[in-house]
Amino acid sequence: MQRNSIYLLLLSVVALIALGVVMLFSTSAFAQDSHGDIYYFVKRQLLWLGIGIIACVLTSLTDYHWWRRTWMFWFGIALILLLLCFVPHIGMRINGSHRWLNLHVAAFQPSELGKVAAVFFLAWWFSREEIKEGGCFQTLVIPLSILALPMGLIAAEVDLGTTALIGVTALAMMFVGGTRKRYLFPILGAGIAGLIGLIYLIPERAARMMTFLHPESDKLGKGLQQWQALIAFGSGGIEGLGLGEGRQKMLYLPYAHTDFIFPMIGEELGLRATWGVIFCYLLILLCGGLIAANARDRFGKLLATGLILLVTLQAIINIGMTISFLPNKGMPLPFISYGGTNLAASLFMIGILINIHQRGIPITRSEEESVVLGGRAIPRF
Amino acid sequence: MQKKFTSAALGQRIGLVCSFVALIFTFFAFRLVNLQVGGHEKFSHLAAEKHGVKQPIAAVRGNIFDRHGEILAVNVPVRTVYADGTHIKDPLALAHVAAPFLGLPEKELALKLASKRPYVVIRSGISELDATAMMRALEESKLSGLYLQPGSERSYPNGKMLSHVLGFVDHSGHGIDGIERTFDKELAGRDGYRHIEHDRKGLEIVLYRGQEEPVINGTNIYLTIDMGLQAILEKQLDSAMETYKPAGATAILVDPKTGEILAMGSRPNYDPNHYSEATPEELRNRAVTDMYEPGSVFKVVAASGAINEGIVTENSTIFCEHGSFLYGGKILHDAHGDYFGDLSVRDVLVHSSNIGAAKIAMKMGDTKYYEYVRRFGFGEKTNIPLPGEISGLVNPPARWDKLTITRMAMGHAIAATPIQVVMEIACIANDGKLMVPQLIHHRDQEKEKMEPIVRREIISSKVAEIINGALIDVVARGTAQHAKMDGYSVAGKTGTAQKINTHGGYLEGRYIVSFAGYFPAEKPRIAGLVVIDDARIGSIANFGGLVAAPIFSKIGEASARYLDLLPSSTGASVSKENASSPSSSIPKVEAP
Repeated sequence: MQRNSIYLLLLSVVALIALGVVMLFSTSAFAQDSHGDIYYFVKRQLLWLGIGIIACVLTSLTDYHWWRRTWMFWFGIALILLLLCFVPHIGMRINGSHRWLNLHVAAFQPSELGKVAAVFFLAWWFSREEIKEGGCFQTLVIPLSILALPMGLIAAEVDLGTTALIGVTALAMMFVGGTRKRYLFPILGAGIAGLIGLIYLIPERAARMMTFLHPESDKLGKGLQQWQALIAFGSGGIEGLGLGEGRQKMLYLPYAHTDFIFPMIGEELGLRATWGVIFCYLLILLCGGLIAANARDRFGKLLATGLILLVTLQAIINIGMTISFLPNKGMPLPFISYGGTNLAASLFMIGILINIHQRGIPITRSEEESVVLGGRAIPRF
Repeated sequence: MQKKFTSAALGQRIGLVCSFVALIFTFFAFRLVNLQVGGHEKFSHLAAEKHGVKQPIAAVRGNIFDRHGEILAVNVPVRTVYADGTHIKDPLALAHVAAPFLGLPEKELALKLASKRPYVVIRSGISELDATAMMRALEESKLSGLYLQPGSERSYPNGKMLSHVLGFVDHSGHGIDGIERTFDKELAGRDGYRHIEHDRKGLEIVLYRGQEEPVINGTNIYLTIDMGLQAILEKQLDSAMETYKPAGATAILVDPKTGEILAMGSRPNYDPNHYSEATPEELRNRAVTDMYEPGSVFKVVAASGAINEGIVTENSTIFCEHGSFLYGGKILHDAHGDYFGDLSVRDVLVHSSNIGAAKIAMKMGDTKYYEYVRRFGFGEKTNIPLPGEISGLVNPPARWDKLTITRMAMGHAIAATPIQVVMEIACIANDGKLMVPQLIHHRDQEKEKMEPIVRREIISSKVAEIINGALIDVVARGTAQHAKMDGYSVAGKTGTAQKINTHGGYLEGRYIVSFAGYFPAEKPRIAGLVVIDDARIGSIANFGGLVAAPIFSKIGEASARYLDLLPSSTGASVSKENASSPSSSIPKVEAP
């Protein structure tokens, strides 16, 4: 099973990309900044898809241990690029955020590199021998302090979604890497307590933050996009209105081709397609988990876990945002949403996963035993 | 507690993390079911409400033309100017710029603009030219808050002319009077609508244009009216109003062969473009809504009926009692100074003897006479397609007293509308066939014109020929010599009746005088009627023959020239010479 898991994973990725391109055809013609060319977005997305495929092939051919040796280089590059975002003329300011670098041909989002570099760092950190005995300082304070650099810069760009994504991924990787629960739970507890405290202390601000739970209470203000997204899902029903028949993309849903593409899938193709998308992400998650569990060494396991979490948690943040479970923080749906850097970065990560899989432990046991995920199925070293 | 963290434990934790993430995905999947299945009805309803709009498409009201296609009523595009108070920052500046275009005093306008309501109608009926000029001026001075709404306004380019026939429409476009009212449905057409969806900016998504109900524009209607004749008629009515200062006047021209109304006018009249300023008196179309005692015109009924029934011939002698006939305890007089002995039936008409007419009717008997009165169309509506037509007043014999028949024979004790009287005289000109009066020549989609409709044949064409001869004589040597026309022979009958006061009695010295006739007499093309209500001249001259007949003659002469009619062969110029002598002195006058 785990030998074939990579094919299942790749199949899911291809299916999601294909759906993304189809939906881009349907939605982008109505997007505002299409420069008068209805295929503008499709063309650019296909360009980035090509770059992503090349990156995927290259990384799949690169021994993943190379990333262990060069993590500091990527981490440094990421920090420099993130800083450059704040430099006028090089950094681009769009909708009040400094998320992009102007490469003249295309815009580049350094935060995409930043999140991968963060995963490289953590995988290296927790794969060192000395960490096995590590206490609070080694497994919690130092990694968090180092991660605070890129996360702080990304948060300063006003990209809270990616900050949260890196944060949650980091916590999960630390958990997998061996940080004790008694160290991690206080952080979780502090976060929850902080939120509750915020609600009590600044009710007005908190109420605004919480509109995502009741978008209909503020249909024209902060809740507009999410309310329109709910209408899109609801009017799609099981069958959907039919491809290209969606109404919400007609300026009702301002980011129908990027962050809010999932509601458009729901409106035009119905519940079957939204379930299909979620099923694909589940497959990616499970196959990625299998690859991680069967990785040859500790670094491989941690790296695979981090990468698969980056992809799936991003999907969760995006979907959770569109169905009004999470606040609207601007996060593309991996493989589907329009957005070049993210697509290329996602494919880059998939390439590393392929390499980890290829170098994974050879199957010695009968396949049935290793199918089921869980403690019992984890093969021995 | 400090145990070594093994690879197995690491794998376990990977499984734990992945399971947790998978759990969130599963949870999302159920939330989607909840949204897309459970919320489907609610949200599709919301979406439809938000996107869909039933956009009405207003039907264009049909135009009205005369028989030759001259425009009588059209739609003119206009703009309604309204203000959105929420957009107005400086009402005074706005008023200063906009006032000259709107024709409103600046102060009054500024007051209206100061309102904070989002929709205040400032002025409707602004011409497209003025409206665009105003908007341009506002743009230049960078002011906003005034907006335009398209619309159309009914316009009657001929003003007062033909107003009673055309009628008018109210602000909401409903026909209120005249043809506009009778044919309102046809003229209005049917509004269509379109189900459209729009995007958030309110622009239509053409891609999803939905169900359409096509608009059906109003039918264009061509009237039988000939504006050339109408102009002639109205001009003469105006000059009659000028000369006689009567309370009212009515004239109708009909094609006797088809019953087509060629011209119809009443005074006082109004301008349908400003109908709100019209008084009820002006709004009345006297030709169909007013009844009057027709007077001697009515003698035709008795004479033609009696001849048609074979009770008398045109040459039968009627003894006219030398002008004073005692019957039923009352003395019936012929008009001033007439003391006829024996008169032929024909001469009874020519000299308009009251006694003669009464005796002819008495010879017919109540029932027979009443039958003819009804057959001529009195006491029933002619069904001319104009609103407010009344049927006149004809009492049945059961309610008559002994004198009624003698009064009725000379056109008293009966009330008729002008349209009834003109159809009666047209019937004589049409070989005894009473036609249905028609106003619609044809409609847009119809290629062929309306067929003439014969209401009924009343008298044989032979009898009609006899009456025709008598009516020619009426003009040639009888009471209506002023009706003579240069070059054309005229047939007709005058009528004079005292006005009725509100208590059922007669008003002394107040008369409704009329002349009903047709020309050219030998091959009638036009039948007409002129009624002058209460002409302000001395009662000695206030007779149909002196007041109404000359008006008819003038209308007739101009009409004949306009229609290029062939002059009458039977020495019309001679008859004109004859006419000149009696016209200088007061001619024989007819019975009151």
